[in-house]
Formats: sequence, C-alpha cells, structure tokens
Amino acid sequence: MADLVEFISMLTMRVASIAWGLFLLAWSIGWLLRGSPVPFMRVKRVGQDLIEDAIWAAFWLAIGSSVFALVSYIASSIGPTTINTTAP
Amino acid sequence: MVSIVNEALYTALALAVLSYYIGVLVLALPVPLRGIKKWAPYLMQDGLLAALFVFIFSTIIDLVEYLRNLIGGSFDELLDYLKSLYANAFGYILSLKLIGTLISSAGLQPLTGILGPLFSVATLLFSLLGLTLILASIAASLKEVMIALGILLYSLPFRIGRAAGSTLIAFAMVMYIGLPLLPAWSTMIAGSIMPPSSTAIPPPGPVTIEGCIHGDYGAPGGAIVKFRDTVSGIEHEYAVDHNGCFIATGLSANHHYAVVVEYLSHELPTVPYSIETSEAWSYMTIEVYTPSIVYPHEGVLVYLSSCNNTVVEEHDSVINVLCSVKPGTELGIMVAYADACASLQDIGGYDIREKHVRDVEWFGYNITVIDMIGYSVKDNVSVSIKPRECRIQPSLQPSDVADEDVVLDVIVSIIWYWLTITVSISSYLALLVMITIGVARALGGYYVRLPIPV
Repeated sequence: MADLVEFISMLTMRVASIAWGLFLLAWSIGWLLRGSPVPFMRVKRVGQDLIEDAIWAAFWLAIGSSVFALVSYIASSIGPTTINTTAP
Repeated sequence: MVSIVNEALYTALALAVLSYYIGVLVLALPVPLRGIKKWAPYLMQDGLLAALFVFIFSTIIDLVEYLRNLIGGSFDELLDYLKSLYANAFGYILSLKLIGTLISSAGLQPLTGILGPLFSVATLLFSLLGLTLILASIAASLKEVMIALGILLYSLPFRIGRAAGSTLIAFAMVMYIGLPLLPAWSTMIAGSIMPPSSTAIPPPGPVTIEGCIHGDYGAPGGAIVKFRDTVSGIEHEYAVDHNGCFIATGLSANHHYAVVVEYLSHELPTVPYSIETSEAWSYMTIEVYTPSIVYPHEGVLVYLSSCNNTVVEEHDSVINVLCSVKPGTELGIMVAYADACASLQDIGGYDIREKHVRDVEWFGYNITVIDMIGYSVKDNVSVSIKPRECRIQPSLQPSDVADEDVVLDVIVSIIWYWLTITVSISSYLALLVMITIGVARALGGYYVRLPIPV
C-alpha cells in the first residue's frame, strides 16, 4: 500500500509539472490566436478563452498546496484530525 | 485493522490531490473543447471534497458513535435478542408440525396445504435472522474500516468510485446507528398486533439458561444443578461439567425457579438463590456462587464456616486448603470427598471439639463426609487432601420438560407471533436499506443503483 501511495505521489508531481508546461503552451497559443490577423471573431474568442483558462490553471496550480492546507485547517476546526498534508 | 484504516486514508488523500492536479491540467489544456474543459472544476472540487472527508474521518467516527449513544440500544442487547429468537424459532417449526398432525388427525387432510406458506415463512425467518446476525457483527466491528474504504473509493479521480464509496460509507453509518434499535422496533410491532384468540397468551417458548458454578476456589465438577419451580415444585435437573458449567434447556418462561446445586450428596446454598425467567429473554447466562465452599479437586468439597481468606496450593502431590482466620475463632469445617477421588490427609492448626464421620452413597460413588466443629489454634487452618485422578459423572434421568396444555389457541398465537416477528425484521431491514440509499445520495453518490428491488 505504501508503494501505491508513492506511485500516486510520483504521478501527481508529473501531472503538476506537465500542467505548468501546458499553462505556458496554452498561454502562448492563446495570445497567438488573439493576435493573429485572421478576420474571424471566433478565433479571437477562442484565443481569449485559452488565455483566461491558462491563467486560472496557473493560479490554482500555484496555490494548490495552500488550498489543501486550508481544507485541513477547516477540518481541524470541526474536529480532531489524524492525517498530515502531503501535497507536493 | 488500524493499519488498513490509516493506509486507506493516506491513499485516499493522495488520490484526492491527484484528482485536483488532473483537474488543473485539464484546465490548462490548449484545446478549445468545452466538453473536456467542463470536467476541470468538477475534478478539482472532487479532490478537495475527498480531502475534506479524509481530514474529518475521526470526526465522522465520533459523530456516528455519539448518535448511536444518543439514540440508544447496544449491539450486545441486539445479539442476545437475535440469539434468543434463533433458539425459539425451532419452537415455531414444532408448533407447525403439531398443527399439521392435529389437522390430519381431525380428518381434514386437504387443509394441510395451508401449512406450505407457513413453512416458507419459517425459511424466510431463519434467513432473515442469519442475515441480521451477520450484518450486526459486521457493523459492530468493521465500521471504521468500511468508512475508510468508502472514502478511498470516493476519492478516485473522474468519480469512478463515487457511488460505491458513498454507499459504503452510508451503509456503515446507518447499520451502526440503526441496527441496535431492532429489538425495540420488533417489540413495538409485536405489542400492537393482537392475536386472533380470546386469551392473549404469550408464546411459551422454552428458556435456556447457561452458566457456571464456582466457589471460593475451583468449581464443582460433576455436580447436579437443579431448577425448582417455586409454584409447582417440579424440579429440572442438569449435569454440570468438570469446569462447573451447565446448559439448562427446556425451562419455561415467566416462572420463578430456585437454584440448587447438589454435589457429593449435599445441597449447597447458592448465590443467586433463585432466578426469574421472562418471555423477553429466552437465553440467559448466570454465574452461580456457592459461598464459603472450596473445591480443591474434582470430587472434593471443603466447607469452612468463617475464613478471612482462602488459598489453595499444591505441594508434593498434596493439596492444601489454607484458611486464614484469627486464632481462637470457632470454626466449622465439613470435608466431603468421593473415595475414588481423594483422601483426607491431615487438618492442621485446628483444635477439634466434635467430629462426625459418615459414608454415603451418591449416584454410585462412595462419599466420605467429615463434619467438624472446633477452634483455630494458629492464624492459619490447613486442610490437606491427597488427590487421585478421577472423574465424577452422575447419570441423570432425562429431564421431564413440564408439559403445558397445548391448546389450539396457543398454537395459533405462536404462529401469529412468529409471522409478526418476520414482518417486523424484514420491514426494519428494508427501512435501513432505504435510509442507506438516501444518505448515499446525500454524500454525493448520484445514480445509486442496488441489485435488489427496494
């Protein structure tokens, strides 16, 4: 079982690093689409959405561990806790 | 058990974190597909909710136990109740057979067909009792493990195990809180149903009393325990094994019985002196204590009228019973032993005033009884016995079960009672299952489907 937890933690770190890379990619593509000289509003709309989603993703990614700490704090104020946070 | 809970919770937390970051990754995907991106906030919320469940695990356990204590009932009561129903249920089958013979002897052969459904009720009753016993044992001992595993399933990403996890959590909580109320529910329903007879006779199911007899030291191996009905005087005799334990079956409910222990031709005083049986508890366990009596070996009985403390020790194949008493105290000693089991070696520290020795026969064993009155010389009186290997096993006549007049009314009320019990148990279980589904939905298990139609 401990191996499983380690595996999941390793997977989580990989996902987090991929997410950082994807944020940069999506942000760049978004600005690319937004600034492209294509005369379709749809394209610019898509570009704008990509930028917003990428910024939100970066935000949630950055404060991920803080969010889990906040949940832990809320839970401890409801009752006693037994688990330490192990978010990467 | 604790390690399963801890491992399940650690894994659940890791999965919750993974689910959150997968959600972030999906949000960061540079694809403009709304269908995929809409999963992102769900994944993140699921992760945070699962992490919350992990953190408040012990609070959930405390809440469940608090609710159970608040609502009342205990698993020990429930198990005793189910065991007594199980023991009595055979009486139901016997009464069905009896009504079958009554019908056929009255020449109404075709009417025996009506017994078919009643027998299938008996099958249902036994399977329900077995199921409830198993559920009660599971709920009582495994609630933490089930709730932890439920949280683990709940925290799987993409809501794979959400329905299963929340059902498992709900099941553990509802069974732990709800099952101990089953006896109260059954009593309420049985009390409100009037049997179709003019006299409301309670079902006279046989009562079983299990227990052990012990003295200040040891137990009377091979004794006879008698339950004497104080009203009718009928005695039921049962053999006691070499540990002093007995199982008395076939006693009647709502009767007052005096408890008597007969050992080596003596009737010994007992605590409790008498016992009252009631129809509610047809399976009872009691501890019988014979005061001031020591059983140092099988087939030996030593009575010491006043001792501050009694100690029994074995030394060089001689057993010494040491009674600590103030010097100069008047003390009565009675030693009874089967000649095959022991012989009296010596009595020390005792000034004998009167001594009577007699031989009696008890169930084929020669018993030597020595009665003495005297004074203690020192602060320790010792009775030394030389033991021999033996086994006391009195042969009893098969006990006469008191024959009650079996009237048709009584049989019908028995059948009615058991039908009511079956209905009450099945209705209560169905109620608990529906509450489980409701709690599972509330915990977030959408589209919960059970394989049984409820």
